[in-house]
Amino acid sequence: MSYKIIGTTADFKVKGWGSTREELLSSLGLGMAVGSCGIEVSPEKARQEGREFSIAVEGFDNESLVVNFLSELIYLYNVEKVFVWSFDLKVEGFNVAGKVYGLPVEQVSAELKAATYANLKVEHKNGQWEATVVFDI
Amino acid sequence: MIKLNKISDYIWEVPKSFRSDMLVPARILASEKLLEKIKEDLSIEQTINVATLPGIQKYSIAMPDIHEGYGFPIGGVAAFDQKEGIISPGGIGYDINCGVRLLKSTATLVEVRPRLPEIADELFENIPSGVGKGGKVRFSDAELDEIMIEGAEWMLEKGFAKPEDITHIEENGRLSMADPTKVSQRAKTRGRDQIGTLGSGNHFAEVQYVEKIFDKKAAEVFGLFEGQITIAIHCGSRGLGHQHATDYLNVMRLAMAKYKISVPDPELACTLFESPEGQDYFAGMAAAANFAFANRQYLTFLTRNIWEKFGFGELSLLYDIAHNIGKLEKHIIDGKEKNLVMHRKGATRSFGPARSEIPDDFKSVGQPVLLPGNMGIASYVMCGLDSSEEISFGSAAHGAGRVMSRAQAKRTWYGKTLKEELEAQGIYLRTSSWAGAAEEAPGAYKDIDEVAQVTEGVGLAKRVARLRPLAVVKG
Repeated sequence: MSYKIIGTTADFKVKGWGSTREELLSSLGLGMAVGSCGIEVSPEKARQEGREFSIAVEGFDNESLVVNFLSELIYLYNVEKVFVWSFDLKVEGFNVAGKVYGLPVEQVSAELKAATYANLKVEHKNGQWEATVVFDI
Repeated sequence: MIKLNKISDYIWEVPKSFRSDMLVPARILASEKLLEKIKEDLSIEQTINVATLPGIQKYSIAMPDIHEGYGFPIGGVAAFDQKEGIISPGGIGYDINCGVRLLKSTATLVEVRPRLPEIADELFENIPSGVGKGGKVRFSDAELDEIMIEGAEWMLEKGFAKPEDITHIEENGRLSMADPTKVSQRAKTRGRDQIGTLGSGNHFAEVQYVEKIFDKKAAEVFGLFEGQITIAIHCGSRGLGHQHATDYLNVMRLAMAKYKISVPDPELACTLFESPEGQDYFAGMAAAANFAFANRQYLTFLTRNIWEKFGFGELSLLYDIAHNIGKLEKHIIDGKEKNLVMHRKGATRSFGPARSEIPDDFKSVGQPVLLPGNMGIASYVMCGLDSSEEISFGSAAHGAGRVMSRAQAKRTWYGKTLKEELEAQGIYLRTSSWAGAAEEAPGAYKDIDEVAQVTEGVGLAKRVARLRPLAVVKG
């Protein structure tokens, strides 16, 4: 799994991919955290030193699964003041549940307003899941 | 390849024949110079996409400071028939009622200049700004609901506003159709401790001075004079608005199949305005908008407290305008008055003297239109024109739109160097994020002078005063 951060005029985009939808969601979540914080925190550190949160998110198609999952992470940041760096997820249908591990970050360069549906298309080709999400900051 | 037909010097049109799903033409209000930048992103494509939405009237319009957004462009105006047209959260924005207000002082540049670094420090220390920064006050659930119903009026009741402030806010700082029960608990939790906070990104509090007056009569009516100190506050509904928009984009996406609506981009998700979903979104949007009016009012209270310490006299409110909002307005189309659902995202209302909605003391010249520029260059106070009715449903630009991504701006400028360069020009920047400051570098924005000139040239609003920054506080 992996991600790439792309700048656009008023915000930033994260392209994520993975062999499963769990990996896709984790990649996008990680990319979102890195894009906001400007740094990368290891999943191990998050698991060892961070706080564990249970999440359960519902969607009605793959796009809403992605947006609702990322919106949940944004909400977690707003209310619990942590960014999530490690993911333990299970996707069923268009719902995802599991545990995530978050750590507070000193300096956040971009305040995430929302994960948007702009140009969002979750694709599954050649055994790989792929999506690019535009964030409003 | 999109071919633009030149309608006049500053009006360009994509005819509806360009694409089979367009219901009306798309119009871009810009000079050739601004158009070069506009063509570099997807602004025009997005303006065309908006032209496909049910019930859209006359044209899908792009303001001179247009840039690419999510589904809808930023700097876009669209009017929909109230009975047959849609409402779309994306056409209003995630930051519901992001807007700006301008405070006027009786003090002058000469008096204030020696104290600027101190003033900048005081503002930075006492006005919460920055990512994740909570406010100094925390409101109960019941108070939050009251704030969402009463907006700026609530602040007046609690002693955080002067009576004369209220009539100098768009809609008197309170949209009457607000219903906080349509705002999710999640949104309320996000917003609860954010009243009295600026947020981050392009939000700011800025001390300025009036550098030049363009229109003596309007300046006199607005109470502006050369050398006068002014203070601008730019922010919105914070996490509460963002969450409400997020919530309803989902609701709308699910509902579209029911109403047999399909859209070119999922971010254009919408339902009929008169559908239950449309009504719920709108009532919640109004509640979030009232939250933002209350927020800017409370920030004014904090600013007045700080200003008082320096003994420079009182701060009075010129006007407070929204630039991400949905409004119910009557406009004349083909000689008939129609009830419309106005969507302005990154665009400001710009009513001239003929409109009854504007405050009594501005009726001789039109409402103030505030165009915040960027922190290094300038901002404008303009006044609305009656000619804007026909061209843009009484709308104007909202500032200098971006031309460069935040990532590129951070690669091009270094926040701390920017601070030094600004200070060399007598502008004091205080921020908690140097990366954030770099993202807001003047070069990342369109030319505000060009935007203001074109806004006037096309007949949307006319220039009254050019303001220059002196102290900028941003998150």
